[in-house]
Amino acid sequence: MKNIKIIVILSFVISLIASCDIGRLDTPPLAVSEGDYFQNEVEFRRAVVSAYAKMTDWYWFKSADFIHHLYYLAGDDITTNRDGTATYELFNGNLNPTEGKSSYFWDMTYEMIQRTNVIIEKAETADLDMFDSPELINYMKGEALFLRSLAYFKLFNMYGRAPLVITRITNREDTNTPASEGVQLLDQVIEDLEEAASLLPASWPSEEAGRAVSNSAKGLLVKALVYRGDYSGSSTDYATAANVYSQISGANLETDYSNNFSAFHENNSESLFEFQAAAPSPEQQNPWLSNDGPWRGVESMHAFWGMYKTFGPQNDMIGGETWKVTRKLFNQFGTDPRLAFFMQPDRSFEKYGKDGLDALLPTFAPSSVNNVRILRLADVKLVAAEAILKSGGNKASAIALINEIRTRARDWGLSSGAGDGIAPADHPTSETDSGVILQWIMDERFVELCGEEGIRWHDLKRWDAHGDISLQNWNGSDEHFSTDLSASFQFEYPKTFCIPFLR
Amino acid sequence: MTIEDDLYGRNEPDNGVRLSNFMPVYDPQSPFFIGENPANYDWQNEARNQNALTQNYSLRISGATEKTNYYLGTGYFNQESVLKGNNLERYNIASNLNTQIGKYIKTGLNLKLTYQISDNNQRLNLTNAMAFMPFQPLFDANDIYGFNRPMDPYFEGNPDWTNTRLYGAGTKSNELAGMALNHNKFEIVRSMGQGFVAVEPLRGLIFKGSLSIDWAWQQRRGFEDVESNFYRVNGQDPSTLGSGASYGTYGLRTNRFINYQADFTVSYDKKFGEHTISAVAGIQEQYWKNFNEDIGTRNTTTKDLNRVGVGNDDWVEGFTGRQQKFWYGYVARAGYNYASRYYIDLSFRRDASNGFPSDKRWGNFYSAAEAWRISSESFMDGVTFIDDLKLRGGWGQAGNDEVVVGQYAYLSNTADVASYSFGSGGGNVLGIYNTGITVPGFPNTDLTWETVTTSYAGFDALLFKNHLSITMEFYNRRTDDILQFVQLPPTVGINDPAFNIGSLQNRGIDLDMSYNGNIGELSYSVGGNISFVKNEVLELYNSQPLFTGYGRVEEGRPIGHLWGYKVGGIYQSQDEIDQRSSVYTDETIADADFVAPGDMYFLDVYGNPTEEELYYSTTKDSLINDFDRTEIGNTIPGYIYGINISLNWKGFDATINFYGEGDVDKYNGTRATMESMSGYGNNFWPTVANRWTESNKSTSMPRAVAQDPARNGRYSDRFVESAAFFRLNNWQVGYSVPRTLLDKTHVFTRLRVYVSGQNNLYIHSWSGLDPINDSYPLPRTFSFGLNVGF
Repeated sequence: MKNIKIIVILSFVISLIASCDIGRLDTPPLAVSEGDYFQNEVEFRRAVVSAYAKMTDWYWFKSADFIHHLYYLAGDDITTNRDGTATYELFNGNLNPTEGKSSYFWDMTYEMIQRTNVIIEKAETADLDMFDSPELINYMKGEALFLRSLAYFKLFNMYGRAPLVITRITNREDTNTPASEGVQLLDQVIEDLEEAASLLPASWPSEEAGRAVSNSAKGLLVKALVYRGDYSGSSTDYATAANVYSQISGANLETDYSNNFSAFHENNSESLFEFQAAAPSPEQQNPWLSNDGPWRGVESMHAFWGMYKTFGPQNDMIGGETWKVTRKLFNQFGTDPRLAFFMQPDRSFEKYGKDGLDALLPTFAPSSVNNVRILRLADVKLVAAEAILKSGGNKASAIALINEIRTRARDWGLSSGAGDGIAPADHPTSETDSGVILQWIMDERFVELCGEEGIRWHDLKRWDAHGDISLQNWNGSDEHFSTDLSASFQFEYPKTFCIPFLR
Repeated sequence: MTIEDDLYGRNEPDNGVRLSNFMPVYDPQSPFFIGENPANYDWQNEARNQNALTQNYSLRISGATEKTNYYLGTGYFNQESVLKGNNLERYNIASNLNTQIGKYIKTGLNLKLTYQISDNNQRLNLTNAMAFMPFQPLFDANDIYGFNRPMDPYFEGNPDWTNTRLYGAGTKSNELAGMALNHNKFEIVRSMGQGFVAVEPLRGLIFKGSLSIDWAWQQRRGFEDVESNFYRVNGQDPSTLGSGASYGTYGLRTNRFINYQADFTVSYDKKFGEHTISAVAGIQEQYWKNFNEDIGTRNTTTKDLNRVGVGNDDWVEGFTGRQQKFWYGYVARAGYNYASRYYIDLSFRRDASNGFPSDKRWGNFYSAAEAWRISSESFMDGVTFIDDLKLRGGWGQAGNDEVVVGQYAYLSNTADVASYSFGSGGGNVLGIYNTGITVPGFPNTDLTWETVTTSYAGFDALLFKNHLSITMEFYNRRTDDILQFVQLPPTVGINDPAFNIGSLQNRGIDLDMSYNGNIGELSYSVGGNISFVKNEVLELYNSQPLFTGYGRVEEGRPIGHLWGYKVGGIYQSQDEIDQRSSVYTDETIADADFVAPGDMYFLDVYGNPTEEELYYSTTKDSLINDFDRTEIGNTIPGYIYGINISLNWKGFDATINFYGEGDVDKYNGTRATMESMSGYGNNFWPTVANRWTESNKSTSMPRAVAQDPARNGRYSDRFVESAAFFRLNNWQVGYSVPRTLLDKTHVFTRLRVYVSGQNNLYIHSWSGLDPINDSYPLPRTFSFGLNVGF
């Protein structure tokens, strides 16, 4: 009897102890962790998709708090008369390190850089023998290098000394990266683009259109080299830029200038790189959500062009804020077809938003799927003309490049009805005065690229740095920034955004 | 452009845009002008459910035999919410059974089951209800549902659905219609069971195993009627929802929680002579899991929440999720006392949590406590007023993993949070949809336990023939390796990682006193308690101030302090403005030309960060910007206190409890909105009558001006108030029918009636309704109750 009791008690004790399982502590997480990922091309591709997707944060509606002001208003081509835009047009005191749009751009851009850094690290450490198509991994490394360069090119132009982070930070001692020095960002951009140009394919299959190609890297490299030449005074950069330009092949100016802003001619032969505005399906697009995956199937992949509209729900959503061509540009070149075609009598400018070009989604009116042309051949051609001129190259060939742009504008002006087929006339290739030719390039960029992203302000700043022009003492008057704002602010030379601090 | 044009939208040619984006309703020149004596509707009143009734019934049966005792109980609780749309019903069943099997084995089982269903339909609280412009109507007798529509989607014959607000930019959705048309329910079933078996083979030696399982099922169901779009300022065109003929959207989310805990302990208690020893050793395992499923549809065929379902069609979406947390621990404790005079208690825990990487997973925690009943010593015999006096002190540590357990913050997880399209062109505007993954984490492999170390010393005393009792304790509680998700510089470009960030200290005194006595047949007890605490952050990683789950933290300041600008004063004249702006530049002001007398100015407290002072400089720089924000309030009460009184006289009994908090501040966000006087479309408090005007210059409230150009409404000490209060927490007065009378009934053993109340007295200087919560103020309740025993 006593033995039975002991057996009962002991078996009870053993079963209780057995019910505790210390091994459960090692249960793996429910999500896939990094160690199990990056095993095949498809997994790499999804990481690359996420790096492209981060661009959505640059261009989305953001509950009417869109940040396009940062890229379009600072120059002397576009203006508004809205309260609050003075911050971005004239860089008044409100542009402090905690200013919302600037901080948002900063945060999102570094998140994109982090995504590209992961891909680059994984591509560099991957055992390529393990992959069926190792060349795809190299393509994707090239895409990541291109996107990172694009991000740093923007950061350099907008903030100057933004910190350079080119590795993944996983150590808490390394989290405070100091500001970069001089043209350090451009040095990195140029190095990365040279590598990207050699890694990237010349083209992708049509269902992959929109991914970076070799020409994308070369086009941006031409610009980065000329910019570095302007900022650092290193004249060899211009010759290198002219040489890189000559390697661009397969891209052509579109016959129809307006194709460059049309949702119905995306990824065309002139386009070197675009943000692919889209929607999971037309009904599943919600411009109040950021691009962070679907929520109940609804998500955000769009671009916003409501400020390039003069009426309609897209424009109503932002209280009728419409952007205009400045009086300065209007007075000088207002009759050029490239302006006249998109302009209302009150100078309101409708480049991407114009009826017939834009494509809005049926629900949630402010969503547009019209791609943002981030880099197009006409821009690169004009920068190349400048590179040839500044490197002491053949002036006639520089002028010929300008005339290619003017010829297209003239012919399209006639066919579209926006021009007379006479203006803009070709410049004489016999001109030898470099100052005159440089002024032609500046004017051509002013008109051809009016209201396009980051062009004019970045041009003015680099020309100022190089001594081509002087921005000292510029104000809102019509000979300077030419603003419709009533306030007479004095912008803070040299007009860069404040580097956001930790908030 | 003048401020008037901007406010009234006089330059806007389109009436619809003008109404939606400006406030022409205030413009006497506009056809939309509300008139000099506009209507005045009380939205707050409509949010309330006055005299909400709460009912609580319970039935308990208990009994015991020589070897077994049992308890059975059922309950029903029904609460009408104080604010409309939140009624709640709850049913309970509970049972408890303990029995002895043979000589050595004891076993017990405790089961509880709860079912609760509530309307989860509240859309107005007292704060958002008071923000409605009083002239926006609630009801419309001609409307099919009887509610006023705030928006006309086809304004002035607009052919496409466009949200045109009918009462200006400040028009708000008619939430009353929302509550009437839409339906939400929240249901919970929860069952908790706990069983144990204890075996005592030798007297004092007990092996005990217990298992407890807590299982909960929750479901939220919500139906949103397509018609409700007409009552929302941003309503969507019903023809674009689902099939275009949908009755509304419907979604349900189900959550299941399982908490499993198994304990096995061996304990031994023995007393020989004046020596008493006790010892325990044990193993504990716990895990927690959560499973959730969410499914919804934009296409429904009925409006009845009880019949609506999710169909198998194109408009269905859903997702699932899971979470898991695991713990494991060993515990040991040994105690000894001699003659109930000297006590010593030592304990040890070794705990593991899956919040930490495997090499940092285990934490060892020790503690020791001592006590000395000095009143038992012979040298105290002469001190007659002391009945009992015990001095005690101790030191102990405990671990905390709450912030990170189950988060796997030491691993780098992939996240499915991006989408992008390729392949558009040649007229294809959308391209082909792709999803992306990111690796957004910062895997912190150094993560380990947060440790709380407490030292204390105090005494418990009973004095004057046990009439007066006093307990006093001094303590110092230091928390090291605080676990927090922290913000890194944005250049790192990742999600906020979890770090062990630093240390903080809480020091304080707790004092509790009570006196009980009798006056004739009246017996009474009066007690009071007060606790003082001082909180200070001692050390942070890189000395970097952070915004955390507790609010802002910075070395040398209390945790969760308020951080904002300090008001300097109000400009009384243009001269003052000119004078001050010759020295100071307020960088937060967009256009200084619009600053005028009556606006506030703010103090230059610090300077911009420098290479040495990374977060702000202690040297002033004459610039007013974000780096002039400073500590403007403390959100942890410096002291909390209470008073308790109980009285008994014949069959009557009364208890009264007061509770208070002092030396505490709070930012009055409600007042910041209701006295902002800047935007349009918000209602304001009548206190704004005392704002600065040319004829009312001695006031602390700035002028009223559209768009607030001087940023008077910025987060500043202007809106920081004392949140101290003292309230009558609850009281109860009862009468018990004497036993002698009840015995005659041969049915009842107990019969007591009572009235009670909560929060019927509430003293504070807060300028809102309630310093604890303005939106859902503590209800003031009265209760009537009956206790019957058979």
